[in-house]
Amino acid sequence: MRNDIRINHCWKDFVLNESRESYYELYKNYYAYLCYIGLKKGMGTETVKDTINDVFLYLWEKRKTLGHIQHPHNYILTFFHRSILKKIEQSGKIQGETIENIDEIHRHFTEPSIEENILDKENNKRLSMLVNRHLNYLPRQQREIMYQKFFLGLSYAEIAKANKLSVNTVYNTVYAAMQKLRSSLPARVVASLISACVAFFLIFS
Amino acid sequence: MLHLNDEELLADESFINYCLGHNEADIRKWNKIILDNPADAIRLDELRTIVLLTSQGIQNIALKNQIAELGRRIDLSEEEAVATTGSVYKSRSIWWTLMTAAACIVLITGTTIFYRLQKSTAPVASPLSYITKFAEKKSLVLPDGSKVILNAGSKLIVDAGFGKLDRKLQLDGEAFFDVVHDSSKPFVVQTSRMDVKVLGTAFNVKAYETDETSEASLIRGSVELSLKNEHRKVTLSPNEKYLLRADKTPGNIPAEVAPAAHEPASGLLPVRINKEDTAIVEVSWTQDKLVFVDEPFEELVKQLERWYGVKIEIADPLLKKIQLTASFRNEGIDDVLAALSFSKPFNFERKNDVIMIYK
Repeated sequence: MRNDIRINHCWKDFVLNESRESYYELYKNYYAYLCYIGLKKGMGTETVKDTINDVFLYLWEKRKTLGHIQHPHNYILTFFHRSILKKIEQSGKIQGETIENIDEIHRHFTEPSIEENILDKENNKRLSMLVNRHLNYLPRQQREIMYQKFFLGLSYAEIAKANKLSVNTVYNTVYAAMQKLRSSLPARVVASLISACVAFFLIFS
Repeated sequence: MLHLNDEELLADESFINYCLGHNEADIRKWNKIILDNPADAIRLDELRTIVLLTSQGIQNIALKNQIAELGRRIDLSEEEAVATTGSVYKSRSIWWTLMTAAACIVLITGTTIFYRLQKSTAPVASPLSYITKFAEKKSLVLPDGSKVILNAGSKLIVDAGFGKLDRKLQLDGEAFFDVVHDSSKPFVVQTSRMDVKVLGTAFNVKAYETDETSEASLIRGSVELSLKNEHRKVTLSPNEKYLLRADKTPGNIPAEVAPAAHEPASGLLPVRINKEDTAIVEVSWTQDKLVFVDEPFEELVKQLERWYGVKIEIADPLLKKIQLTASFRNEGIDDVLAALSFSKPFNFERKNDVIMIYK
């Protein structure tokens, strides 16, 4: 529950001190999570993104009146749920897929996993720069697809629905982007690993 | 040995799930595959690193863009808040209350009659704003049925009361308007340097506050421009445009940025026609085409930045003034720059997130 403490701390700083930094910190904490929920409910990519920003814009505008909120996490979540319900009613589509383990998912998106220290390796810093450069130049829609695939971990079918594309198009987009990325990286990515392996074989063979 | 190549693995749903730790079944499946294929273990570990770096990188980019968008909306809403609090009155006498009440009645009756007369155009109650990010365009239909296409990096505010007595909009950026004819309600686009007033017509306004020039191009109908600094009006005929160069006091212009002799000064000009397909250059962006005719490189670069959402710097001052002619459709930024460098030789290179252009 380490994460809860951080969120409550950010919320207090945002509401009491009107700190924009803490406000953005909250946003960073919730963006992926709310995206995931909205997309799972069958909303389109742009609608989800707009709704999240609507919710947060409202929070910023009403920051002076939010002092009484005891459970920011529940407040943000309920508020977002209400907003998407309104949008779903408006569009007349009801596809309430229930999401299991909703808190589990939040932890998944916000708590740094063990994997985050892959950036600590000197070798991976260079690689990460190359990868980011490549991703930065993707057109807008491709970037959205890559985010939904590689960060949110949605299935090709779900991504196709959210972006009104065929599953094939989505797959081909990801394939082409990864092919281009792979070819822009050095042939052997983790050179140190290979030498470690060679050493391993020399010693044990 | 695994019979999947790197790309196939990097796009494989189950493999990605395993890397992200998203699905128990996939995690078990790939752990077993790695055990069964020791020869592939290194390759799979490398690919997993790539997937994780992609995951992290794309998350950072998505957040950066979304936060920038949120920041723009906050700034805009605060600007509006300042504008509305300015008109709030503080003291209220009984007369004032009575007057307000009377005014309300007049207003209600007025609007009822008005509404019966003109059911089609309901006025907008509070200002609406539309914003486009870099590399984004939006099409919208205004309450009166007029169509607007908003180009990248632009902001359009539809005034409260739009459609009531007149139709007023504020624009920072570029937009194409196809206006429904209604002679009783003039359609006015206000920008920082000029206002464009029309009755019913199709026209393009390009007025980015950050650009040196603003221009209005008329496709059909007629429009009247009010130039704010010169306090005078100009009427445009179809296929004409008015180019307005930002004011500069002559003493302040460093020699290298002084407008070159071949750059047109403010004034009436014909719209430019693309020789390839005889389309009008000023509005080709509405068809997703990027067209330049004798455009100075530094102006062209600003358009590319907005169009592709990238940062470009010209390192060589001499290059800034060279003029280029080209047209593109659905090409990536790399291909565009490569094609341009073919006609006027220059080199370009990506440094971090900036594209540097040099001799």
